[in-house]
Amino acid sequence: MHLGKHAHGLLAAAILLILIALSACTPTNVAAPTDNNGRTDTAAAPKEGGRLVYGLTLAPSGIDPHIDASSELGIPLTSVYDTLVYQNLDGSFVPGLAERWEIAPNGQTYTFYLRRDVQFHDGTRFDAHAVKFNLDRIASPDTMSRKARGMLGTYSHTEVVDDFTVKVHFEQPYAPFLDSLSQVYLGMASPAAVQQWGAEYQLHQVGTGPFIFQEYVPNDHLTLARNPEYAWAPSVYLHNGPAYLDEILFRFYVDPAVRVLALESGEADVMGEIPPQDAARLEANPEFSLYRVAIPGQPLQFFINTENPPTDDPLVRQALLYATDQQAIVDTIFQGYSPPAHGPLSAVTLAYNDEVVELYPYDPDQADALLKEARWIDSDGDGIREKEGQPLLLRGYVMSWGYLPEVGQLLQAQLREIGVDLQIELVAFPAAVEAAGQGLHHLVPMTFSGSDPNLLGTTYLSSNADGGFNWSKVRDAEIDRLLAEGLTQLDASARLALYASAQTRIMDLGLVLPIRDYVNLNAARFAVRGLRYDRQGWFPWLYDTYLEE
Amino acid sequence: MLTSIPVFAMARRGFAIPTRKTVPRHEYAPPPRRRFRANPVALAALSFLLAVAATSLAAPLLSPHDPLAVSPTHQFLPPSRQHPAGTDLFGRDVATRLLYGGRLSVGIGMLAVPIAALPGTLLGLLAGYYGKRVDRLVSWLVNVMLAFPSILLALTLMAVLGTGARNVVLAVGISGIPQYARLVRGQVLSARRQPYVRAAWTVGCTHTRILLRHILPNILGPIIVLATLDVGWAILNASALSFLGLGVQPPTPEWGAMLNEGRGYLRDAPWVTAAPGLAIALTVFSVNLLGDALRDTLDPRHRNRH
Amino acid sequence: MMLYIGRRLLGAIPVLWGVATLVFVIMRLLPGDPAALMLSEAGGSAQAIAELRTELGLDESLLVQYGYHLARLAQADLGASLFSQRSVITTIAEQLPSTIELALAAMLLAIALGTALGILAAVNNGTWIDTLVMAISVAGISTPIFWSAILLIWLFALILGWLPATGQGGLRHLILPALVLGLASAGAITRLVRASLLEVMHQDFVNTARAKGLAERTVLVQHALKNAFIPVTSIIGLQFGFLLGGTVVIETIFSRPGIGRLMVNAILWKDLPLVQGIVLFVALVYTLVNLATDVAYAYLDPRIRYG
Repeated sequence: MHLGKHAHGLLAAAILLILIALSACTPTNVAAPTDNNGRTDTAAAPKEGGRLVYGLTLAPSGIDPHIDASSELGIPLTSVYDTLVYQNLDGSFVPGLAERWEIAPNGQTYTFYLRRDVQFHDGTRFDAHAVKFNLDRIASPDTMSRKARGMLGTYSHTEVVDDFTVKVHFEQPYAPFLDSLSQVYLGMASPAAVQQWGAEYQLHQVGTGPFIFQEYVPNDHLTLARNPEYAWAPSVYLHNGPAYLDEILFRFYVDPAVRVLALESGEADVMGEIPPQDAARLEANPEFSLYRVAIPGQPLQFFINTENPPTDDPLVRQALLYATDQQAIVDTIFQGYSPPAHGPLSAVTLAYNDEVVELYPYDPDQADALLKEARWIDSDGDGIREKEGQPLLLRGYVMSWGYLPEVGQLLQAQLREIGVDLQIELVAFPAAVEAAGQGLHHLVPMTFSGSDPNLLGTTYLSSNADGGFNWSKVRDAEIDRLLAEGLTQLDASARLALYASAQTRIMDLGLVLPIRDYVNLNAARFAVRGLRYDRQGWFPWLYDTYLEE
Repeated sequence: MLTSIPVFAMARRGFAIPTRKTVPRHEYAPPPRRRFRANPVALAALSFLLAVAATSLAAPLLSPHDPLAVSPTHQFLPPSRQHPAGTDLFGRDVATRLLYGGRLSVGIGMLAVPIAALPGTLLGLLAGYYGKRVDRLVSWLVNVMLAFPSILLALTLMAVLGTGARNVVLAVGISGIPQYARLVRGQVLSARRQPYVRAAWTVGCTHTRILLRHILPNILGPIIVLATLDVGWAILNASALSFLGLGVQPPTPEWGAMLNEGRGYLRDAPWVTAAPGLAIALTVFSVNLLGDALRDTLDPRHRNRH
Repeated sequence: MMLYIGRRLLGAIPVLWGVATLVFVIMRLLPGDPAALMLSEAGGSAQAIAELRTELGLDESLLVQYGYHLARLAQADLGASLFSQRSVITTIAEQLPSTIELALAAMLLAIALGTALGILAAVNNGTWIDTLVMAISVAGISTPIFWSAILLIWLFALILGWLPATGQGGLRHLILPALVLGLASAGAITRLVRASLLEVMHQDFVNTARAKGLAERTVLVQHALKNAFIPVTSIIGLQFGFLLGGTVVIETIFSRPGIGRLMVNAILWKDLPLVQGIVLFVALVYTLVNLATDVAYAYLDPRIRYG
């Protein structure tokens, strides 16, 4: 009877302990690491057939590439649409739906000579009228395109010369145009289908690519089926003719902790955005291949507000840069799967200037000297510097994804060592956008990805300081000039020089605190072969993929 | 309180008043405090909670480690003598963070409940007792609040006021008000028709007196049950807010936030989640046991033969 | 009774209006500019953001926007989601079945399990059965949902391989999510049923029934249970709200479509039409559930009569 009174508690504790014990029982993989990053196995012939289950992460609110901006939509749709040109991994452009092209000397007109053997999935013919329809649709204000429109830059109009020749006119030379054209956001859609489906087109997309859009149930899944008519593969691919896989099923896995579970339990064949701590385990497991894909564009970084004291003082900003140990952050949080970043562009981006690496090596003594020079001294011995009675307090915003809270905490500890008190505010993204827009921050993270360096304009042009994403609030005539010229400069080497100078200028002014280059970690079952990722890093080329079983 | 008015009324009418001497022993219910002390489960739960409170407050004395000190070289160390619950991603001692975190986690739970219970009970009393227009107005208000999933309410408050422990308390608390209102209203509706209420009214008590001294004590049971469950829910809701990305500010130690942070490392370092999870579970568990015991002591008719 | 129901339905209208207005106000209070948010992934220029804002009609004065709002609502036009441009009604209709499936399954599980265990515990009051049941129910309500979800997925999907880890479409996919969601609720119901039953079983009218010589089971079902269910009925209405909140977490972890997740994203990204539509829909459901609850009250407690 007396025992019964205590059994209450004991039993529940026992149940809980069992749950805990279960959570501690991790299966161990003792297999030796093998080099099985699934590059194409050219020894054996690819097998046809099979269904691939591909794990996506967040379900975007809309998946029309001409309208929506999410990179998640590009993952399935890269296989549905072809583009006029394709970009090799080394950054060179090769023919796609356009056999060849000419650029007028003034840089304002592009003439594309199109392939004549291409059909849309609905049987209609791909021709110059289709190109015009697509570009006009993107440019039209009624479409309210979020990303594709911006990628057309100073687009003026398209002119149909004949059925397979089209001229695209610009008001000013727009250097990133070929880069834009090579992305799924400017993929060629069937005019007939767009007109037929109107607002519901995103559920019934029709392109010319190696896979046909079957069905999309929002937030649940998206299916593609092989296009048997496909015969116009560009040279970036490894074969021609129809794709190998019968069908691809894309499913959404929002929660990072569940992604690897789904992969390991066999529910998915490929999974994107693997957390770093799971990546090591998968890499060592011979049943899986790990793909590390570097993403071009901006790195994971914090913009430093140049208008808000104390970071309005360039000495303070530079001190922050010297005090940050990017290598430690990369090792602790990203398990070494990302290279540390030192400049406003990641190392694989076009025009990356590696001079930035030397600019701010990890040097706490130098940081200390700079802060002393700026007259920030710890006078009361509490570990935080003061000046005129005010402590050196910085407000940093972080959002709850992308390991930002963890990075923030490590950064906080590092800055504390030089007497800077970084207070972290964890907020939802819209709150961060609002606060940053109003300039309430000292540090705020933001990243834009892309293969062309013109994306620096979004965050460093003075015109974007009010109401845009220039969150360092910089208004520098030199940067404005360099970026404006870079946008219109069609000569490749001249362009590189312009952006190289822009990068060093940005770092000299101490506008941003770079942390790490983004590396997309994907994992697949070992049976999945021929999986490659395109120049943008996010999007898989599934055309050559097959299942070895 | 329970027996005061009938006794008074009976005395006025010349009936014999039941006292300790006149009522048979086996029907006599010992006073509340004595019954509570006789219940070992309740005592165990209370002791555990007191221990949690004491260790949280005395955290600096108990642990040599700094809950905020980052040392990446000691990342994910398994439990050992030096680190009884291991270390986390930043090499911080989990046990220490657990101790310091207790202040916030338990505090949040305890503070949120009165914020929900007091206004909610008041609204329910008014609506259930007075009926008619008052009931309609209060019910309208409660229904509008209930129509908002509590997540929305909590998110809104967090988003408008900002994140941080204080706003978590407010958000969780306010979103809990409708529950009490509904429960109390229903109970009052039932109790209103009971004979003792009629009797009290006949004797000449004011409405307020009837509400506070007759009805309320009789319906206190379900309210207390709800409140104790609510402390647990408040703690869990707060950790759910952390899951959605809006909780206390890092690097503040708090059990829910620790639970969420360690979730991705379950395979490699399960102790990072296991420790705060266990802490939350045991604390909520004890609170519930305590609530049970309290309910038993307050209702003498209910002989819970534990 | 019919009159009562009719009046209640009519009374739902001011509630819905209150909800609509409150949502409008709240959305204005929340930080964030939808135009900037929409262009945040693409990296729009300040000019592009300004243009989008105008195109979306966000530049108008508050009163004008509120007016448009109410006018459209009066015509049962819930508008189109800011982000996806698709009709709100369609969006909700797509996501709804999954949530309903989940909520119903969890609710049924909770009620069935809770009642059964509660009766078991009350009838065997003081024995080890009682203790075991209480232990389980308390353990159930003490664990955070997202933690137990991960553990269960890990146990059943990875180690045992019995059930799929994520997704929807069929009973197998429903078991784990409903279990996680329902267990927490079941614990609460168990305790309440047990407490109410114990209280009721000692009341006079039950003793009277016993004295009359009725079988214990008859006593239990016909008299005790009906009365014990009154507080439980009100709790069920509230549990519905808890379940809806819980679906947010469950839908995220189990990667199920559903309006819980849809709503949180819509709120965070300030997609006003979508938030409006979902909240109004939920409000409507609540009203109906509350009505059903109150009708159930009257059925269970003959002393309560509605005029």
